[in-house]
Amino acid sequence: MTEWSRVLWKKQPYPDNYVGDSFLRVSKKRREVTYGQAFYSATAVTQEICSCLILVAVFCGLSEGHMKAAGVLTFTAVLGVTGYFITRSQLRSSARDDIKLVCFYVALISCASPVVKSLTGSVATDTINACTTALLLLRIVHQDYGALVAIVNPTVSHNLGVFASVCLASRLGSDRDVFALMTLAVALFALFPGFRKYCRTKLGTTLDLFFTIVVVTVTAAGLWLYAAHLMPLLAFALVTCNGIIPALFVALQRHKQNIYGPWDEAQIEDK
Amino acid sequence: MLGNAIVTVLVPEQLDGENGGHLYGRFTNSKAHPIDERESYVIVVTSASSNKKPPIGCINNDSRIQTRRSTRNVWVELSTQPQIQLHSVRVSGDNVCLSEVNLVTYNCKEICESELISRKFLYREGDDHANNIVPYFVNSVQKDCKKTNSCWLVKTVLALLLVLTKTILYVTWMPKVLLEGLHYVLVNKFDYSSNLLKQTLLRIKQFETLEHELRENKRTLVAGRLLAMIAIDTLLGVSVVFLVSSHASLNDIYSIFCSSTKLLASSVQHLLEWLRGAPAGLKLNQPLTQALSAFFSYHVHLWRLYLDLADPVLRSLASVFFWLGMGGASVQVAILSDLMDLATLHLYCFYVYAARMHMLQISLLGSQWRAFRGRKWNPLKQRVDSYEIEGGHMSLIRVLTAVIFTLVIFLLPTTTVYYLVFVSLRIGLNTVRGILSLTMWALNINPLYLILLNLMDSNRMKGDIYFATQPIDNARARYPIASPLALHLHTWPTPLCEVLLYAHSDVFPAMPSPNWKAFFCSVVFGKELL
Repeated sequence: MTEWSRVLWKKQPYPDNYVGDSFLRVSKKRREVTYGQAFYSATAVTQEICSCLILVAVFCGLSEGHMKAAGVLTFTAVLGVTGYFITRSQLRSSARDDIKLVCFYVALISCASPVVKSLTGSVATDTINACTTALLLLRIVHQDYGALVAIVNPTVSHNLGVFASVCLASRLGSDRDVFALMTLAVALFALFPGFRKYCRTKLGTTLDLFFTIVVVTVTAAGLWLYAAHLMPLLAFALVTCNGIIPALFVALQRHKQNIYGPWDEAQIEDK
Repeated sequence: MLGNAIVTVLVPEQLDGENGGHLYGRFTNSKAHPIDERESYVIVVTSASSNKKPPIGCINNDSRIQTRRSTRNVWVELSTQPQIQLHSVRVSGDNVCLSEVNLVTYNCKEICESELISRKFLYREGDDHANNIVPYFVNSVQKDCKKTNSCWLVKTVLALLLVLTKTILYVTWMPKVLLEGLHYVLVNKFDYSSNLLKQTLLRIKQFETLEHELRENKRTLVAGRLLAMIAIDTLLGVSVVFLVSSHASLNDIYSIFCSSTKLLASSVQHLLEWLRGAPAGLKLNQPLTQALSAFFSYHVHLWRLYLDLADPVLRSLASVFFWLGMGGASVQVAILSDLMDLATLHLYCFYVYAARMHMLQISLLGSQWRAFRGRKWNPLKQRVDSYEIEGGHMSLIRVLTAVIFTLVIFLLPTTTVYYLVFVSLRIGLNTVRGILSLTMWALNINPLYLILLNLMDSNRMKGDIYFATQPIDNARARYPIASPLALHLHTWPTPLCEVLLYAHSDVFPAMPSPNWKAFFCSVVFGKELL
């Protein structure tokens, strides 16, 4: 007897209600995710948390006077140029356009700096701290990590980041400091996510992991030097994000009951 | 048809007690009734004094004499002593049995003087009048009434009034053209409608309407109301002018006005100083509030300078206004309203600046909030769409959006405080102006004349008719063979609201009522100005 195959257009010697072994071939109860995969995907969140903490560390350094504005600007410039050269192949616009863009950014932020400096003169420090924390948390929530869900909104995430940095920058003393912090914020929140996406998709897993370790080290160093009270926060975030949550996810997977097959619900693209 | 009769005779009760004479009036008949094949007749007796038309009957007090048969169409014989009774009715030469006759008595004066009855019972030419009696009856009585002479005193008074009105209109012809031009320029170029100009133009229009009504030599309710209104207004105005001028001279009034304007300017200055610090404990953005306060203070300073410079011009204008005030109390209220506008001009300017700033802020907030979430207003489809970011310059726009949104959010309390202060000042001034407008409106629509007429139960207010049966004493003796149905026609006054609606014309303006929806939209969004 020929093997029963699950098609309707073939005349088979089996009765119509025959159920063969390959009837359920298309269903998979769940897509199993290993701990390694979960850990690797969670590094995206780690990078995001680290970039937020870098901003806070630089702010603490600038406001207490340990760091100079020129230093921050050089740091940002170096990072920016490096990133630009690495992702050069992917960019569609010419070099001249990019240089013009950089000039526009610089002009815009330097015009906005004096206004931003006196923006929150009448708001209490506690309010600013709470506001910034909430905004950065929201930013982490809405960031695009590669999942196609409704809560992901890269525009909101970017704007929240800039809002938080304006809140922080308005606390600084001189125009230069404000300019430096805002440039760093634009680099971290507008340019960095694009770079991370490029790394993840084009450069391969090992390079990406190496890059994550570099970012974490830089953050830890920055926090150690300028905002030592936030080190426990970094440790806690790292442990939760990379250790506990993926383990939890993997352990609880077996309770998932999704059936994937040709009869999946049609997903209407919202955008 | 009243009852089953075929003839209805309407007789004025003023004929009661007359000695003899012919009866004059009108009559008409209707087509034959489809079942009975009888025609019905209506005979309206309007007077007993002779006019050029042939008589339709006579008064015959002697029951024994029968006048000779006449070959006219209708012939009515009445006896008027001791009461009005029907002697006989002849139609086309034949005697009509009295039981088929309705005798209706009415009061001629009431019907003649009333204007409203002919409106309620409209007379149309081709109608079946014998079956629909009242319009025909009212029309006949009023037509014949016109020919009677009215009192000579009333006629002379009316003629005098007409001459007076004509002179006033002649004198104000040229000023009217000038004022109309000025009003047009002010409304179209400066978007300002001056109450004084409106009131003077309205007054001139009222004189025109009065002249038009008086020209036909009749005493209409509208004419009476207009006259009473103008008289009361002018009387009030002149008395106020004399009262005021007996207490203070023109210079005193002018200096009071000047000092109150200066006081207003300095209190606005105090207000701005208060806003510069921490008003009501609110923490405002210091650089912004200092800048705004300095700007507005400079504006007040300029306003003070302007007032000092314009002093001589205003002084001469003051005497002009004083004499204009003789024109009536409503003109004085209009002058007051305009002067108030003039004195608070700088507050209006502040309100406009603050409103424009507020509108910019609200619209920026709306658009940037949408852009914050990655959405945009699609004006083609009138809805909110999401839009994708790609390319270098779009990220610049994104950063710009975020920065502007933050700036607007943080500067919102300061600008809102300034806007609220100036909006409430403007609302207060508008309330005062509204009260003055209402006073002017009340003076312009003055229904006092109509109320007085209503209270005195005057004949001119009667607008409704009803019939009541009149018992005939000693019917057997008077009408040995058959007795007609005797009715009396009573008039009833129209309700006051209907009279007010009737005695209305364009020159009585509508009540000024504020548009609440536009008011709230203007306060919240700031697009249109209050």
